[in-house]
Amino acid sequence: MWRLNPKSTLHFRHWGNEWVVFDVGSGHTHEMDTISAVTLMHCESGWVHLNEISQGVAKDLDLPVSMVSSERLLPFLNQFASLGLLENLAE
Amino acid sequence: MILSDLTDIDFRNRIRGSGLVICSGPFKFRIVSPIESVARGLRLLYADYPLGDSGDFVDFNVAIERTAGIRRWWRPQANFSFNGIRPFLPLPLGHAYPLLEWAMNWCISTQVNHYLMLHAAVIERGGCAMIMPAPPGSGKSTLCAGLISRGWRLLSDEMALISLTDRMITPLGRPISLKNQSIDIIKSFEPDAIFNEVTHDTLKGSVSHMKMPALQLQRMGEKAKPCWIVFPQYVPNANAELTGRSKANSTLELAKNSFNYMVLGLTGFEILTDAVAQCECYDFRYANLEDAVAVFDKLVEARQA
Repeated sequence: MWRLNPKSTLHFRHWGNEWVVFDVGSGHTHEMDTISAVTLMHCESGWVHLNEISQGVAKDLDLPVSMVSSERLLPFLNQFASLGLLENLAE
Repeated sequence: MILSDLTDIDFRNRIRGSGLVICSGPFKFRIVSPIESVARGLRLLYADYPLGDSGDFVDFNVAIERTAGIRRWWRPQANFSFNGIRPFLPLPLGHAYPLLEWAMNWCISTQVNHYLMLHAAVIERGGCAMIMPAPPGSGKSTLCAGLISRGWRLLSDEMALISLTDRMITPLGRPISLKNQSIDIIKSFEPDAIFNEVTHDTLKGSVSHMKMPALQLQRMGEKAKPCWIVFPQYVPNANAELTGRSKANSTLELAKNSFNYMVLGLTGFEILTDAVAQCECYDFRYANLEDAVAVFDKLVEARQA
């Protein structure tokens, strides 16, 4: 399960598929694509299963679930965790 | 009153006594210095700048003075102080004038937080500002000096001051710092440009400052709207060419080139992304100033079309 780091508050801005995300907690700004940004948004409201994130991202972006499968999203989630944006609870 | 209105005696009394109050953009500096090269530099480069009265509130009280002690006899040095504090080690006396210019930039970049400040040159045409962030050695100042000699107005050679309220860029209007070969390139490109004496063997090599054109100084109160963000790079033998670049990546690069983005927090993010949103973003490679002028002229024409 994944959730946003409780110390983080995110602000998003985008131009097409280019996104910048500002974390008020750390003061850092991150550059990412739409799938990454929407993945982060799904973690903002509390603990959420990887499958739910995958299904939510697919629905929001009108994509087949296979394009944003758990396997495909996991590297992004791990990277966000390494940046201190997300927390991971073993499922 | 402007500096050139002062008689030599008045000027010397102020600079050696209660201080010479110079208005540069939105800031007032009270400068005290008994050093002859500093006086000559200010007299030349700031001749057209408005002066404040000695009793005025100023943003920065600065002084450049000779160091004391026995070493002054065989290795004279100059010390900068800001509000009585000496933030830097002294430099050779011959470097006193560039030290003053660098230290004035330092004062603004470390003390001011009512603007979002980017380390970038800014020029303007038709009310539209072009922000040019770039690391040292990229040819930013050379390009800036060239363009202001061909119809563009200088807002700043060193820092973009973006208002936190109206998002407009406020002119800072200071002399342009040029180094090494750039000095002769601009002297040849614009023979009427006025330069201070060259200081050799500084940490940046040989340095001189180019005076801001007087007509442009008279427009120091005119703000400009950010319209272009251009990352220039001097590349020998390259054709002058603009290539589009990502707005998201431009945001990150500008944030890295900011003096106070992290200090301003969410406000900084909002101001910066608002500026980027309304700008066209480009990388620019050039080798020849005339070619660069032609490319930038087309950019203006395209916007006006």
